Amino acid sequence: MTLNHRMVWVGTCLLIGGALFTLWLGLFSGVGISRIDFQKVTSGEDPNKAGDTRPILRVAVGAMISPTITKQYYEDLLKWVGDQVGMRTVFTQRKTYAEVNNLLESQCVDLAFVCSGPYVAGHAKFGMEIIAVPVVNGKSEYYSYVLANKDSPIGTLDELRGKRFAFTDPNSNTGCLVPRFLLAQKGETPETFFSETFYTYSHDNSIKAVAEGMADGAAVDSLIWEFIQATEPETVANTKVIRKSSPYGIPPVVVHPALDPVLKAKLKKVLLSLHQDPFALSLIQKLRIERFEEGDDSLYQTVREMEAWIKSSQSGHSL
Amino acid sequence: MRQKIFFRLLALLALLIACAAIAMTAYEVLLNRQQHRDQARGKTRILARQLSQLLLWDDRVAVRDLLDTAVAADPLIRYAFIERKDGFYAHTFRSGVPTDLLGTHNGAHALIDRTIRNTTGTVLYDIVSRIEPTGDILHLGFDRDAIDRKSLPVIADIFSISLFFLVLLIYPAWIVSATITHEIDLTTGKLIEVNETLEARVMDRTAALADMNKRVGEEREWLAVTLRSIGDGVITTDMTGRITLFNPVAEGLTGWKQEEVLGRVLADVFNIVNQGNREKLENPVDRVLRSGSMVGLANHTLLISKDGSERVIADSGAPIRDSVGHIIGVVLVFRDVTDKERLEVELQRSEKLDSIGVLAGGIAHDFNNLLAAILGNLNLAQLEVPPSASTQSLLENAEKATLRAKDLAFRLLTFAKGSEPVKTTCSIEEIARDAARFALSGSKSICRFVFEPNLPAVEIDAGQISQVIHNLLLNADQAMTNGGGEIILRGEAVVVGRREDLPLAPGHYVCIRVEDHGSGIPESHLIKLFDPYFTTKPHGSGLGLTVAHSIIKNHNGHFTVTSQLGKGTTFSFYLPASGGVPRKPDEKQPAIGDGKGLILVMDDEEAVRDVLQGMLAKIGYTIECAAHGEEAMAKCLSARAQSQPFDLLFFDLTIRGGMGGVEALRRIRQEGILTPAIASSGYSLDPVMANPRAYGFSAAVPKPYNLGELSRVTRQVMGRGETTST
Repeated sequence: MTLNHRMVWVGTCLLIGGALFTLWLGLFSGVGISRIDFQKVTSGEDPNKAGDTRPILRVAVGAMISPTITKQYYEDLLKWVGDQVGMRTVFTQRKTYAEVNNLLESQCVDLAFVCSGPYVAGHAKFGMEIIAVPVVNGKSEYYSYVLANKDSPIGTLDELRGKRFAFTDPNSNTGCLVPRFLLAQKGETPETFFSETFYTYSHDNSIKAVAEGMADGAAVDSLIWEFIQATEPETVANTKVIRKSSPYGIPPVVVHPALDPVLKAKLKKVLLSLHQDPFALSLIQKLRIERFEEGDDSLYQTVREMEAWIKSSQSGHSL
Repeated sequence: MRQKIFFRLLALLALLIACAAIAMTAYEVLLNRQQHRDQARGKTRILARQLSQLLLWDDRVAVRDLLDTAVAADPLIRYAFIERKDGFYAHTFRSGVPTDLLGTHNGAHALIDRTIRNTTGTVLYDIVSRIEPTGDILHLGFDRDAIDRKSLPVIADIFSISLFFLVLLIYPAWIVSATITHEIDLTTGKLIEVNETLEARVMDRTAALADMNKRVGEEREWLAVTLRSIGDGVITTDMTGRITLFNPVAEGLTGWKQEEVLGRVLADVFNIVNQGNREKLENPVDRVLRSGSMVGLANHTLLISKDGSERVIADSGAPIRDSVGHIIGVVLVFRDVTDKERLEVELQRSEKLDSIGVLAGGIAHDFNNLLAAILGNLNLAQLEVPPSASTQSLLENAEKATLRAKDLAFRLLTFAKGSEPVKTTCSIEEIARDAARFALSGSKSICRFVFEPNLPAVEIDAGQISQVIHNLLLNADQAMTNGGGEIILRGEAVVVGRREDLPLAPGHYVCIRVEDHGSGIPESHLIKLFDPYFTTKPHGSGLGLTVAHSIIKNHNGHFTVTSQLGKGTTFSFYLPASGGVPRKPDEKQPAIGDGKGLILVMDDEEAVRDVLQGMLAKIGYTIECAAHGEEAMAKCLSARAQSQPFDLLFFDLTIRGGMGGVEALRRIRQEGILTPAIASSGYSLDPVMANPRAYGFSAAVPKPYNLGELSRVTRQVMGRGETTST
């Protein structure tokens, strides 16, 4: 082997060695990767939070619509309300109506948007107090729509017999009480009438369940069905209303009876004059609300009576 | 050899397989990482979606449980935490979220996945996902080492397969090495053979190339030498007329050096004009390029050189063509024809002179015939008149004038033909004095003679030398600025040695000098002084000094001239000294009436016959006449037949329309008649007159002749039998 050949072999070996070393450096050594000290940890305090010293206005919204959409449509409105009364709004949601009622009862929240059913329950339990009710289409009432899939042959409530049915929240008026009431009138309970029931914990979820065929039928808040029809027409396009209930008092804005009267008065004033502010008006118009007006507990008497009738007629069936 | 190739082949295969294995390993590791990273992103997004409602419901415990579950369920996940604008919401760290991992909200880190390394060197993928609608950020930390460990089985497979292939390739490698060895042996043999053939060819070609180079070099040298040696000017140009070659003759004719003209256009260097009208002539290169054929210059082309001197040239231009016939340049060949043209002019003049000579010869012959008649009759008339009579004086004047006319005719012949001199031993002083008297008669100039005593005699043609002196004295007289002056005529004996500057053989010479104190001759004229037709006089013939020079040369002498402007000129000529004694002129009066004998006179001129008859009769001879050779011959034969032969024949040499004297005498001698004969001719330059014995004559008498001369010659021939010429 000549000197030139040896040099070629040595050169080749060096080249391969260099390539392997480079490969190891690039693949495994971690050279060039930013280093993090895992021992240096944060306390979790937000430095920005200390900057805003205003008192906190805790507001809860019942899960009438799914939490994401609720936050999307309510957060700016509630922040505006807080600003009007000189407070920093903290927005709170809970999975069930009962949890929201509990928060209000324990005064963990100052202001809440609740469904008509939970209001009746809260009013009965700790004197939940209405400070305003929304006006939609000139009225402060709403309905329960019984839905079926648009392509299904189901056209009446009776034809839902033996089918799967979606309730919203156990405390929901239109999503649970009204269909139970309608079945009770027929001497049926959900367990006897439907083959399967489940809770979606929001009206838009129930609409999607029918539209997507997860449920053969569902009962939802008429306001929310129309709201979804306006904002997401493709979602309701696959559903049809097969039964419209009697009118009920619209879901109100409530406070704890022990809330600071001054704050309560301020909140009421802000809500009742809200439609006069263009920015605030644009925010409530997204919710299809024309304005707020003073509510009256009598609006919910039908709900209260319906609930009592269900209890009396179907004793032994828990709701 | 075979083992060597085998091991090398095996090593090469191992190398290739190793490289392939390494490349596949790297590819597998990177692919595995990428796949797990993609999966990690999916997992993070799913978890973020699951966390969405819990965050909205503010269910921190549920959130924490979900994060713990995710970390516990996936061994690749090392940590999980939710970053919030105001810090964090929940995490799975033991003591808190590392500060450096935060900052996605405030922009410290963009919302992108990161590769990070903790203090123990573990590399992690920090995968992030935004949780909507709360806007919180979910971080999941995936352990890259754990991900890489997923690749280990595949890597093991890769190396196992590589090893398997290496083992599998051992036998084929052995076979291939054997084949290659065989092929190499064959190919090497062929290559050696081809190499040897190629080397032999290269050597042959190299030798041929060297030989060719040598020949090319020789040809170039030969061409260069030829161009340098050629007698004509040679210039070559390219297609644009720029000069590419310029030989030494061209340098001499144009005044330009080759290094000055190379690359310049021809018109700058080759300045030609018409000799007559001085108009500039067209560049011959342009003409050649336009016509594509050889062209010649017009006559009378004048080349003006760099220093302004002018030469008459003849030239030709021709196209230079390459091997396929395309014109690639022009070659111009030219030569100086100034001298040739001058010689042609001189030749024309010479021919003209010859014609004049022939004419002059004829005229002189006839003239001498007439003079012979006149002189003879004068002599006869003188005999008829008493010496004391006044008529005798008139007749003598007439005789002198006739003799001068004879000289004039002689000069006319000499200057025209340059004949052989008829030499006799003479005293040059006497000739010089006679010539001076004749030349300066009527002139204001006077001649002073300064001759050495006892000057040696010279053997000369007295008439020709007299003419030379005559011409020199005339020139001297005409050179006098005041119309006249003193001219010194010197005669000296000179001895010329071997080292003298004079172009003369060593020996004794007589030098004649003609000195004047006239205007002198410019130096530029001195060199042309002896050229034919060179004259500064308005009516001069330009032949005087030319003839003089010619005469002296014919006498084996030498002619010189020195002059100073304003001071004068000295003409000198040298003639070889003779050891003889000068012949004294016959002082004695010719004897009249005592001559005896019968003389046959032959002459075609009746007047000459008559006067000759009268003159010879006066001397005492009996005369018979003949008009031509035939008649003379008949009379000779008749006289012999009658036993009354002639005692003397007196024949004219030139008989118009008949047999001349020479031919007649030759025939008479052929008849056995040996009567002495005298030749006579008006054409005194006839060679017979210079050497009569060679033609059978005893003496020669040139026409015209007087009675005394005739008496002397006839007496000498008839009396003493001596031959001579006058």
